[in-house]
Amino acid sequence: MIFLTAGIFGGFISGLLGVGTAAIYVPLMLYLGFGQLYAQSIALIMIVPASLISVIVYYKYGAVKFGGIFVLLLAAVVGSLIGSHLASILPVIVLRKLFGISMVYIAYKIWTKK
Amino acid sequence: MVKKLLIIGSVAGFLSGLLGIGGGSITVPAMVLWMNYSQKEAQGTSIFLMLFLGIIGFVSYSFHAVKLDFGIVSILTIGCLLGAFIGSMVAQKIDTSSLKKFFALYICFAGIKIFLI
Repeated sequence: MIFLTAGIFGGFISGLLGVGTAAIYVPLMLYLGFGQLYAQSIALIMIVPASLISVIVYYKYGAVKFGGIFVLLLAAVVGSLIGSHLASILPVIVLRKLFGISMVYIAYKIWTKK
Repeated sequence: MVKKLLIIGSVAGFLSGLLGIGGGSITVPAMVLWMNYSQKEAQGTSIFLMLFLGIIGFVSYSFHAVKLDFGIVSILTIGCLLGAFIGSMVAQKIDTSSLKKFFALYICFAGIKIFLI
């Protein structure tokens, strides 16, 4: 029952806000007593069902913009390969702090955008 | 537009590869603030992107898999499908302003978490 509830909660946030499942499932699985690697694997797997169902609903309501989507996809794949290779060279902890602060600022911009 | 998408995709991919941050937290705000997509369009388009990246991640993951309990994964998946359906339906029905505020709260929370870890 607890896994069903966890599954529903993670899927709900992901579908509602259009975000990945890692930020939800990783802490959830850690809280339920699983290890970090196990939690990350679960989060990685759950992206597929969560986004599959959500994309069908968003598409049905005309909320998916297909223009240039493959450019976006290709850029994201290449970017992520470069990012993961540079993770051992760049000061990741400093960058995380900077990015964390930027996200709070972005939240403010989204909140106040008309 | 293509140029902007190229930049958004590269930055989102780069940061997620480098810092382990989910792509949606970057692509949704970028599309809303920079490309003037509506909140729902930005979320829908990001989810579409996530589906592809998720499949790639899933395939590459299966080559060096951690042993997972099939029963737990199945129950989580059923819950996840149900939750994602309800969540995305709610996103279509509620007004954009409230959705934006929920999203802003989520991003704020995620930002604090990234800063603290």
